Amino acid sequence: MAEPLVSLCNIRKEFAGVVALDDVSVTINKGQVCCLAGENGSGKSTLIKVLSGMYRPEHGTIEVDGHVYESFTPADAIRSGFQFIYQDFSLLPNLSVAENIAFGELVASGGFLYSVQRARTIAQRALSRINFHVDVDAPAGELTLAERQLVAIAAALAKDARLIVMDEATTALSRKEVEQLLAIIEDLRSQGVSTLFVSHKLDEVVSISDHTIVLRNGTKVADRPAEGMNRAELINAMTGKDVAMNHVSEPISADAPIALEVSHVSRPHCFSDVSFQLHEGEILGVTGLLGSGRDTLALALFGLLPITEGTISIYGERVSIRNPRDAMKHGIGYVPADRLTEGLFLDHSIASNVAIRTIKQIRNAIGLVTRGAIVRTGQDWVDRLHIKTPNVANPVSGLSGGNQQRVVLAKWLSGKPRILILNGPTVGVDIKSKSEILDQLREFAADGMAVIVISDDIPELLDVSNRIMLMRSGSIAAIRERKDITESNLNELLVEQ
Amino acid sequence: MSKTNDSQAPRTRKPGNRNGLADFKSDIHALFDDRSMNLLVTVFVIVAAVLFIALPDFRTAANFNSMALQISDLGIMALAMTVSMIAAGIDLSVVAVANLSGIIGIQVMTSMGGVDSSPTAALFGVLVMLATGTLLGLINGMLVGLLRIPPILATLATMTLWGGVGTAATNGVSISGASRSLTDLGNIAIFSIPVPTLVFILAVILVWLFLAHTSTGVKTYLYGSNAKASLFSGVNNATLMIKVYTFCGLLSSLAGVVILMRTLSASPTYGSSYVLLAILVAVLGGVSVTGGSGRVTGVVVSLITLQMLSTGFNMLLVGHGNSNFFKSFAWGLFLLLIVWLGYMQDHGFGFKPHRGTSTNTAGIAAKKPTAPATPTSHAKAG
Repeated sequence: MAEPLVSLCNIRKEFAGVVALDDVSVTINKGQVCCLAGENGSGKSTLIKVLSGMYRPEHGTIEVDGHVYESFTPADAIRSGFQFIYQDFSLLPNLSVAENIAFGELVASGGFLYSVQRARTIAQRALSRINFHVDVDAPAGELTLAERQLVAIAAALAKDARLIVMDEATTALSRKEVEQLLAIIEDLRSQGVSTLFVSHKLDEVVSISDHTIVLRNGTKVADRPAEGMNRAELINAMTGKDVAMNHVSEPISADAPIALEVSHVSRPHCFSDVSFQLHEGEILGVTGLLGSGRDTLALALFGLLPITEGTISIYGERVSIRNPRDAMKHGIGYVPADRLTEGLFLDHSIASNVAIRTIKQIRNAIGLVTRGAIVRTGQDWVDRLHIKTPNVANPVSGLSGGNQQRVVLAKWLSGKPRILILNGPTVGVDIKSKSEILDQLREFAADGMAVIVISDDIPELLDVSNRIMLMRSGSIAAIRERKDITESNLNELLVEQ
Repeated sequence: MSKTNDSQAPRTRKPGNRNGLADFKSDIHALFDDRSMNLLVTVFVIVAAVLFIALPDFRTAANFNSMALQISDLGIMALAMTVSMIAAGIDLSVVAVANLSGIIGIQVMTSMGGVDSSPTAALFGVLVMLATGTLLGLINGMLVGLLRIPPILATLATMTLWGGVGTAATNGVSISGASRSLTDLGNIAIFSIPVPTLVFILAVILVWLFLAHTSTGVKTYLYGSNAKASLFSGVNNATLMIKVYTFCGLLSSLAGVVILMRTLSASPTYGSSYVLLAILVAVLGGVSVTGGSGRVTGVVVSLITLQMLSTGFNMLLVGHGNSNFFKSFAWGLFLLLIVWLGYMQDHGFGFKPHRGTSTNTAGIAAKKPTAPATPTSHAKAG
């Protein structure tokens, strides 16, 4: 039964003297669902790139079906039936679903003419294997993230995948969509397809896998059947220490000034008749499925999708927020959901990324901005938020996810917001940085900032919030004090129709 | 693979705590911490040395004067192009704006007495020209910033439009009548630097100050690197584009003033090849075609290098009649060489495939991977 599909033996990989993988051996059996867990920088991505033939290890061999490869190329990986699905799903947005799925096979078959009919047939066959119905003539770019994810899986199947590797594939999906995806992986297992699942989200790791592999600092620290491995043990293995995520914040005193009062606000197709109050020093957790209105509400408060009805008051003063400048003028900051495309200027220095918010305030006596002033602003925040970097002039792209997120935070904090809205503040951030970031949020709140945290990550919300607000179909479904709610209550509320 | 930074001990570099001199010093250091800049300077030195040694005519004061004059108008347009390209756009209308403001300037001066008009009339004419350029730039800025028309289309349209207006105003021929007070400046040198070159130097300083030392300039770099993040950082992208293209328009009309000084005339068709040359100069100078990086020093070095190549070829081929063909040939080859050397510098010399892979040949056009950080900053300005 347990027949090995691929074995990586004693892999060692270095980058400019930094050891990314040290003597790591991993075996994946046929039809096995394997989870690869580890913090950012633990070597997960490197291991995957070795498996795909992108990186050639300094030491070690790769064995597929009993054949030992000395050098394993991307072509070898494709021939072995290894398919990789990355966060960006690797689809061509302008091509139709059918073309995306059939692309590999049509190219491989070397035909001179392209047949729409054949592409459709190939696509339908692959889609039916995962029992997913979608218009095969629609451009891939018009699908939702979850649909694109499924199309990417179908495309992998159309290429006769025997091993599908999903790298952080669930990051952009809502809870319900994740459950759908997990069901498909189960189904593929019964068809003999192996899956290597790379994830930060521990719940998924625990629920799906037959086998769990944990990396830490480039070495393998756990490799065992998933059965009987619980969440706490996993965290332990990943971080090398216990990270408690069971903080229960007390409700904020009713005497605290009301920082933000939203009453009866609406925006067509986004949310309707939403009212809530946010006190000074309070952290309000907001959750809901994708499309529940939680993201559009945040954008509305930041002025990117202005409200069409209702009123917003800040410290009792009624304000009109038509654009981000209005929001900033009234002290509202917004840390966007997608750090890479919305939050950061990747090629630019850490210092410039931080300083953009206050660039006018750091001008010198004759109104000019100097590099030194930018560097000082950056250094100041790097020190305050403990961002790990040897030099603030380095491009922000070289930082780990957790440190990048802190750069985005620093950018907003430098503007001294009274109200800070964070959308998915710890997405793609490793456990240790995550708990540090949440600690920092609690500190800001203690200093009098009003904070809204939007997240899919229920344990995180429970850990950080004073109150939790649940949104469903554009309205508030429930608001509860943290002390009156448990993880299972909240999960039930979330999936209730 | 973003762990490299984490695994190092945080050797925190303490920035200087004083403003002023310390900041200025770090700005000077920043000029030389970039490898693409080093490559360009190396090539510049080699070209200059070869021409100095090989051509006696090259190392004469008269030749330097003539080269300095020749780079002035193209140089200013290349600076305008640089600003627009750093903002992830392009300004194809630089030459058209220069020509149209020249035509309007001459008409104003003609109405005030023509060639013999007073210095005041000349000054007024120049101010009208600069105002014209600013207005035309403002129109580009509004098309790009408010109507969100892609810069290449917006400026292609205005380029054609202003060309048409200029043709209608002049019947398509070159017109003269600029005040002598202005055109005489074209032949005068101050501290042995020709006045048009001084105007160019003024433009260099203006653009350097704008890009490296104004808040708008810093935002221009960041916008060019990621317009969406710029929006989410609370930058008013529309106003920023208006400022950027208005500045480009002002610079273009300054080039128009220099053209008037040098040619004593204005024509709707003058320098039609300059648009692409301005792009060539900017790209050679290290301005990213995708926006977000590039600096004035690089553009100036690239401009001088190209002018030296062109002059050198002219001298070599005197009497052969085909020097223009050779000039284009040399410039094109030079661009390929620089781009290739730059690529090799990033990926290693020789034709071996990328490290660790054996089949990946598709990386040429791709952006560099975001992982392991290079020690140099990409975010410097100037």
